[in-house]
Amino acid sequence: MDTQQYKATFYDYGYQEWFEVDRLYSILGGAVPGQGGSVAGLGYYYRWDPVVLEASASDNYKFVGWGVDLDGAEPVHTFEAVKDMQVEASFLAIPSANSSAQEVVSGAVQVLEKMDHLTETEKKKSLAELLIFGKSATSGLSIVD
Amino acid sequence: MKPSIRPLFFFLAFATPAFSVLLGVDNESDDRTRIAEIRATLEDIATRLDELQYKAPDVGTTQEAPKITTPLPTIQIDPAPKQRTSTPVQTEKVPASVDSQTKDETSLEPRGIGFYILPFIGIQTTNDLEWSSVGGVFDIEESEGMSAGLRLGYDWHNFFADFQLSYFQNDMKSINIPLDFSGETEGLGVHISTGGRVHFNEYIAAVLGAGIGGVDQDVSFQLSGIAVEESDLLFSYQIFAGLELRPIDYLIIALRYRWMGVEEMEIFSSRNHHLAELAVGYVF
Repeated sequence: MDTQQYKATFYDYGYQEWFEVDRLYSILGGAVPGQGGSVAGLGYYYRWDPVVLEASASDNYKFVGWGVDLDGAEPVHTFEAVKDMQVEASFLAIPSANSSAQEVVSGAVQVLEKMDHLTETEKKKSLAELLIFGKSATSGLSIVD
Repeated sequence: MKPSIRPLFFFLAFATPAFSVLLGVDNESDDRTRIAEIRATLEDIATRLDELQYKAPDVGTTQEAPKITTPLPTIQIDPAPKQRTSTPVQTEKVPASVDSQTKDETSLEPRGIGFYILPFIGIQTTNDLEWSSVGGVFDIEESEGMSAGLRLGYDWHNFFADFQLSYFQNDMKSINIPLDFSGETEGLGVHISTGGRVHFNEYIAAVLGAGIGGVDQDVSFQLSGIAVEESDLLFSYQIFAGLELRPIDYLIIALRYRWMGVEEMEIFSSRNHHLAELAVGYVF
């Protein structure tokens, strides 16, 4: 039997789909912006393997949430690998003596650009709220501890 | 003596005062009297020459000229103030009005000393304003603005002191954040100033002064529709320099450059204003 041509498959009643037994799923992604932090747990997993992703912020940055194929604002995210996923952990620069105002703005803009559920007007309003109040009721983001 | 010399003395009699005026020779109060003395002396010499010519026989050019026995008066062109010619001269009576005018012109006595009121208007620019936001410090660029005010004070000969009430306003032009932005800065200032004055002549003087006071400043802008505003009474100081023109009594026309510093606010930086102002006022 040609196992390369005829792969063994099982049926997942939970997701109601067939899957290949030896199929590896990719859980890939990274931090936005790159210098904002890192994500641990990315890699390749067999189906139903537990995946634990943990976002760690760099100094003067703050984790604000997951993006693309993952939602949530908790820095540690646990789930089963059942499909290929792209994940992004978003970080905002916290104003400090070591960060410039422009870094704060550009970081906030990058994060807001990825929030597809917000309109352009809401993104601008959210940026203004972040700079004036430190928190945005529009986007839920915050640049203060 | 040749007859052609006589017009020379007449010319000198009238040209001397004219030259003294044109060349700006020192106009002391008794110059006119001295000029009158010189003129009278020259006329006396001319008269004596006339008499000699009248008394002398026809004298050919080859004959020896008749000797003048009567001593001619000496002319002291540039004497010390108290050195006078001994020849009695006829002096002119100068009308009192002319005399007072001469005194006024030569003493550089400035016009209009006393209390003054000086409204002014001008244009001004400022350094970049800085906004200290939660996210950091951002530069706000302001456009040229206007200023207006009123100075009430007292003039001495070379000094002055005044109370100044002023208003200034600037529109905000831009901020280094990619968001919709508009705003303005305005303030009402009160300063007490003093300074000195250097008189170039009766009409024009240079002025230099400084003052301290307070400014009630209001800074406000809208960032993507969200308002930011701060208002406070702030310490302020100023220095200024300019020119004053006093074409007639009681009238002052003044141009001045004024640098005014305003203390920083809680979220906005200190400001340096550069103002160019024109004032037209009245001296009581």
